[in-house]
Amino acid sequence: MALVILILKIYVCFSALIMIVYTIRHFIFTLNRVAGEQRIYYQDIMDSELPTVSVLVPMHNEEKVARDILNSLLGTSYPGAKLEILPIMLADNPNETLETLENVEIIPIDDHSTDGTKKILAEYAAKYPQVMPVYRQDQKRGKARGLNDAIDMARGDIIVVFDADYIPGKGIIKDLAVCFKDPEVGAVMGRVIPLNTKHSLLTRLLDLERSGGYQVDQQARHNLKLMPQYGGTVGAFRRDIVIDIGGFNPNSLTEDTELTFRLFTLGWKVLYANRAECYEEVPEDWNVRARQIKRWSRGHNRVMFGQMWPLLKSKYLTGREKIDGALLLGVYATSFIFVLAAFCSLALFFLGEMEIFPGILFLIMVITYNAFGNFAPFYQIATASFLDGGAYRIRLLPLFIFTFFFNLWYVFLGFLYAVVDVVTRRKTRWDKTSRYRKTEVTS
Amino acid sequence: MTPLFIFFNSIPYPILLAFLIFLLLILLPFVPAIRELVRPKDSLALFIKMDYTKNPRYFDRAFKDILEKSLEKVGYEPGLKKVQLSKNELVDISDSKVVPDNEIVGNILYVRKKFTSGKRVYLNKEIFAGESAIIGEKNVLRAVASDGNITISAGTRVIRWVGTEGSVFVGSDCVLGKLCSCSGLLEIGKACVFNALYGKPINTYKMPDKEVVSVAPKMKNVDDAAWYVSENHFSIPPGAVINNDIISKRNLTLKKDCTVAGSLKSYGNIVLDEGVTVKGNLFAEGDIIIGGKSTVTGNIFSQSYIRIAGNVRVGETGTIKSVIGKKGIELTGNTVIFGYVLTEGTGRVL
Amino acid sequence: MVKEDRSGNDEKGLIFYHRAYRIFPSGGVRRHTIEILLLFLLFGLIVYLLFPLATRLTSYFSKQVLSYVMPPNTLQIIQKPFLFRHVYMIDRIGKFPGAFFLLITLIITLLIMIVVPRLKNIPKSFGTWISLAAAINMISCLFFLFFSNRFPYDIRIFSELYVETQVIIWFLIAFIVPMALAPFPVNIFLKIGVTGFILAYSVIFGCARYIIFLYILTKHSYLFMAPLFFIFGPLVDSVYIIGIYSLFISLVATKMKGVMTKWRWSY
Repeated sequence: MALVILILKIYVCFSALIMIVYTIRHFIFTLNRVAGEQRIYYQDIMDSELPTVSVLVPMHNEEKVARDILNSLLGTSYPGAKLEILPIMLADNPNETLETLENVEIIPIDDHSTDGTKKILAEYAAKYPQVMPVYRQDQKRGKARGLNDAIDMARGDIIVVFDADYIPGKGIIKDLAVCFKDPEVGAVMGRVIPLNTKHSLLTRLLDLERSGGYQVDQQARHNLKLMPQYGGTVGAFRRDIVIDIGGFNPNSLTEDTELTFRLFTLGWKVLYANRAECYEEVPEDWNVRARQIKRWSRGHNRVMFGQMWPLLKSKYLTGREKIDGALLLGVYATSFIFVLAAFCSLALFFLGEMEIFPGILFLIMVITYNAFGNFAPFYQIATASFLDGGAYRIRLLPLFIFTFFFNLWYVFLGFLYAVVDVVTRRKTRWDKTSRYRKTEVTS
Repeated sequence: MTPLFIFFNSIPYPILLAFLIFLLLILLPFVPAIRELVRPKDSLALFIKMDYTKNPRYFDRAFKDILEKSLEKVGYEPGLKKVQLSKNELVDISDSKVVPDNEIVGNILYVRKKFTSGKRVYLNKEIFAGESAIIGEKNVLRAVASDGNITISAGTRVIRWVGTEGSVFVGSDCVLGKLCSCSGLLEIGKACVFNALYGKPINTYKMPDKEVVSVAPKMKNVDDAAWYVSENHFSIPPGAVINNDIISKRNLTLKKDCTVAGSLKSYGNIVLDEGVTVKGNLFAEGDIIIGGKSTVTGNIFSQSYIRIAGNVRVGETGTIKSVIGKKGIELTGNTVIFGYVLTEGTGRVL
Repeated sequence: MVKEDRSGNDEKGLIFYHRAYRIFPSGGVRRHTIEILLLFLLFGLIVYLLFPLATRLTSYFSKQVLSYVMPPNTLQIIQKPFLFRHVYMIDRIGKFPGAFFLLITLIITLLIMIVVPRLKNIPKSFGTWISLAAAINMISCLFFLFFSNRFPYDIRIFSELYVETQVIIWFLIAFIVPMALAPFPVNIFLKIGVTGFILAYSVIFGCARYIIFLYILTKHSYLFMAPLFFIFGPLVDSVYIIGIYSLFISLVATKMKGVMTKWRWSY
């Protein structure tokens, strides 16, 4: 029994240490973002010789949002001869030689849609030659699989990916593509900004969370030359690298995270473009949000199991990058660590071993558990909102306590699912986030 | 008597008070949050300018566009007209305008043909000149746009911008505001200060050919003709030809007459000695120093300073490339840059 | 020659800075770090010097209030060494749950755990919180059902845990709040004021909470000790810390809104 108690106490100490490390990390990021030197991105570069680009838009039952994104992409200011927008299409003759890329190429990837998505894509394809939809019917579903199919067919040197609910601005494709002039860059991520913030408490909190995550966290990682993350949308990557590494992992629920780490371990860099902003839709429903974070946690933790060792032994990364990478990989595991530590504390409590030392540590753990969740701590969110010019929205911070247990629980579940996935090597099924848009935003 | 009443009545008042204080102190921090939730004052999505694209010719074109749209409502007859721009403004419309020495002009000027100002004139509002604008010596002006050529004489200070569809000729010792851009040739004199320039191309002042001084750092006990790698430095010997990109964690020096068919990237400084040719881009976390008679066909981007010696060529005819130094840029004479120059710090023509 | 002015104060030349690379105008990383350390030293010292007094006052007030419901001579204020000083707390006889009370509580808790997740009109986030609180209560009920005689706490031990935790919360406030306030372009005296206010709030809140906890544990039973500590304990302190902090930052942001000259850009 004494041994059990000792183990429990050691685990609580270990957990508190982990929480303290993450807290310090977040604080360093916050301080760097507001007071440190900012490492500017390449959006100001004007170059008449930009790379060819294919824009991929995975779609599954996206009739509510499809027109908006297609209209936005068709309005892009990217030099017309260099851009290809490809929705994925089942080629009748896969051996048919595609013409040399002359115009904008938009590839919406229709992935087993059962609503009006196909009809919308066909309508746009008939009207705009640069829109070349890809229809996936017989293949297995999934974003990663759809992207792989489209990448094979795309002709651009650079692939830009947008989720279907996004509304890209006129200049964003150029802002993303220009960074590939840097020979070390493998991928780039822009900033995601929620559009439907007004809807409810959930959307307002998610808006704050996104602010913290992008304006402060990602930008600080970019400043400090650590590991900004490619997020799978509002992002771009070099086509030939992804083909060389065998494409996206079709069993991954977070193929973007996996790509990030694979790129870094192979010596490429991922940049973060804080100036390249794009609107998105965030979940308006708690059930949808629950599924979303459970999926992120599951996918991210699977990546952690698969990529931790390659990260630590990569010869291309500095010590700092490896530490940050390990912490980044572990971010969705902290809920599990915390929940287990909470159980240990509970056990110690009933065993009468709570005295002050583990008690204090439990306390430290709770307060420093990034105060209300592991996505962004409160001071990071406040700072980000401040930088964004927000004022009254900062007052919503105490309401994050209501998402604390919620996030904790579903991230914890995601971790457990990931463990089962890895142990049993089971295949995953893609779960799409619901859309809410009622009227067209663009025309 | 309801059960709730009975329950609360059974609790002694001091305890009830303590409970209420406890409840109040827990709930009070939520009050501003709930107020913002119920009566939002800041619930809109962050604004993104959806039609934003990086356009170096933005300021003068936008100004001309807004001004002409406003003038269409009041007419183009010569004289003073009141128009609504960002606020109410007086516009002085004329066919040609000459402003004598030492004058202060407080209105926006819309000149259909030629505008000329004397010495030490203060032009406190924007100017548009249809055919050409000649700004006299030691003027202070807010901004000038034209469809023709603009000449800015020595010692003039521009507060905001200069932009034209034609060419711009800038004398010595001028300050060029936030942006000096044109669709044609941009010539800049000595000792000028700038933030951003755009021209096809940008030419710095002509200076006599003199012996080019090496900018490569001197290293003790190192053979200049050798490949050299140390903890902080990577040096490529003179005359080397490399057909690849180079990415270096160290300071990177290319000695005299090297040729690189690829891009260079360094986490330290990049130094190109005299006569180096780079057929690609330069990216550095540190400074970029380009020696005399060097050529870079691509973009130059530094998170620190860029110093370009004389007789350097950046870009090629028919292309647009950029020179971007976050903290500062120094140019010298006989330099040709095809495209865009930008610094967040101060740009100088030495 | 124009002197380089990157503060944005040259209004005529000012171009609006996009949010992407804005930074605060006040000082650099080193200055902020020094400020945090100074404030932590200041408030750390204040907490260290005053925590015995604060715990004594807390115990005194708690005794005064609880005297209305229980004989004053059953409420003892005791002291215990802590961090080379003393903390004060209340000792009294507590109450074990009776069998009937235990069973009723267990049934109600189980019902909550089963019903609440299925209720559609309660937001899922709130429902999760209630379910977790109920789960801890259920664990407590089961413990008392099977191992009642092994319950390791009495009011004295609980008071020790509570009061010492409270002192550590004050030290944490002295560290976390300056850290969170440091980056903002605000007068240091305002930062001192806000930190001091949060500390005072914590003392008063801690006292009220202590009274409630003791009342519940002595009048109703030890059954609720675990949920009280784990759900209404340190986690709830985060609420007022963040609430006051966010209100302050919001007021600063409102004041600074639209004042473009306040920003620096990129370095």
